[in-house]
Amino acid sequence: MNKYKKITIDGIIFNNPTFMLVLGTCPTLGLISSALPALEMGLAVIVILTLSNMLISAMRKLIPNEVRIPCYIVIIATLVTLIRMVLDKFLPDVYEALGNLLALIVVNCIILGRAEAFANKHTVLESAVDGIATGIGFTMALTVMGIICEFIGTGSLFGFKIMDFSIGMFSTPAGAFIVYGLSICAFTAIIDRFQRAKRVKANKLARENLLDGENLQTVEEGNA
Amino acid sequence: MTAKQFFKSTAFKCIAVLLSIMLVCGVLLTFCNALFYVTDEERTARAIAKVFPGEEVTTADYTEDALNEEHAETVNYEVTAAYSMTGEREGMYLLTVVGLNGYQSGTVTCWVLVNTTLDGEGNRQFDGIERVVVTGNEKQSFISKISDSAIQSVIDKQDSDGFTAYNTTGISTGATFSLGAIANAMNGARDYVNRVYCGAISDYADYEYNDYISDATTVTVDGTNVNYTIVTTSNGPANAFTIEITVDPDGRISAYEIKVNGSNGTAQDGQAYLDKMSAIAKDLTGQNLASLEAMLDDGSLSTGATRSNTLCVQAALFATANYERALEDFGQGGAQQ
Repeated sequence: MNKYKKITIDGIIFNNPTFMLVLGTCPTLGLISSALPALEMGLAVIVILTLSNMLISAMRKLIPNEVRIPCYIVIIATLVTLIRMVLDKFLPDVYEALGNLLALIVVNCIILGRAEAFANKHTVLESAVDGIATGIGFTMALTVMGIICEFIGTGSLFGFKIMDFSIGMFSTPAGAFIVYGLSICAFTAIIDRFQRAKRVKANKLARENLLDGENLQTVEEGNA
Repeated sequence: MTAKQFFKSTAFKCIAVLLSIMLVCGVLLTFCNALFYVTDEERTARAIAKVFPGEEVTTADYTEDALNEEHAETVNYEVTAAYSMTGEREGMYLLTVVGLNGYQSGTVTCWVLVNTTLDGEGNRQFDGIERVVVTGNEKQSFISKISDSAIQSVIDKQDSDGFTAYNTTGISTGATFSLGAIANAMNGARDYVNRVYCGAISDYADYEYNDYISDATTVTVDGTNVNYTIVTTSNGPANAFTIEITVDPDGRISAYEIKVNGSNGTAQDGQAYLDKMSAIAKDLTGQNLASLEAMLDDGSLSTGATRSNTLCVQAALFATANYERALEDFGQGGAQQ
């Protein structure tokens, strides 16, 4: 498989930061009570994660191992501050909707985790792809949970009223926590089933190959 | 370690790299800060654009007024900025008001557009609230449930006590406490405009314990007794009380009767709140200033209807603390007779 394709699928599905690695829980619980801020936060994380991965990857040979974490934090904090300034200037509504959770991206485990686990061992291009893929995985997870919470909690989707019935608790972090837990269960079950089916298929193929090998050996022995 | 060894060491490399990164980042942020800085004028213009959607409002259309600190803050609201509209919108005032006592004692920050008119004698009068835009909040988890139509309903249901989110039929948001804070902000805007721009100074502005006392309160003097008909403000879910209190020359309450009980009409738990009110708050006869002040600290008001109890005790405190002043102001030969 093409390595970029593998990085992309890993980032979005098999190493999904929210459902599989359970990273970035703080903004997840804080923002999934409605879909739009969740989507906006996801997009901000994609930008910051991609840029931080690229910068850290580019500087990986310059940064001594002993001070790599402080260096990563300084780079990530700079990028987050930069994004905050840009949002405050050009998209003030998004800036207000994300509030302090935007600043908390500095200590988001996903960004620091990918810098430590991926960017400092791979090329700039690979790190950029990983940043985009992981960011998309995070955004998708947040948006899906945001849609569920907003629909049940307020009866609306992206701010548009759909129904009058609602359960207020799902608009709060407590409701978000329940949806988060159930989403992890569902996602893990789907991935588990997929991987099991893949394993069964691989075993079946291996057994067929083995049987073919044994048959071939028997024929050769008969010929001899 | 020699200097040469130090400059070749890992420690030096670590310091140099870390400082270099910090320097580059610092310089970059300095430039970006200058480039993307949002001025106060720009922020105000953004907020005003929300108040006048679809209309073009420039800085020439309003002037920022100095805040009158005396009338800017009470227990229910805090006015943080005031603007007078000019040109064709003259007579309108735009205020930034923080409504207090929301959900979990949090706050809601609103921009409130107040309209005033001139009466026949050229005096400016409060004429209602045109628009309210919520721009921020603290601890209001359910504020997303408050729609523009719910806010408009609060504006439309203004009565003599002002605006209230409680005990009003037809307003059901699921975020009543947050809406209560917005109503507090509206009342704040109304009171501020009334007092600062319309010159309606409260008779009780200099009195003690006037935080919860409405301007609708009246005082009469009967010999050496002072009779108050106190109308309180609302206090969270507790609506305004009307209480008749008589204070005797000893500074003791000789008669006390709740005429309108603000706890009585709360939409769902009205009777429950009424039952939870402390017996002593329902009848404060015999109390004086010292015993009432002691009540504020001894926890006897925390009965499950604390806000209603507080209003009753605050009304009694107002009556007893201002006996001498009321006798002077409203007695024979008093300034306000």
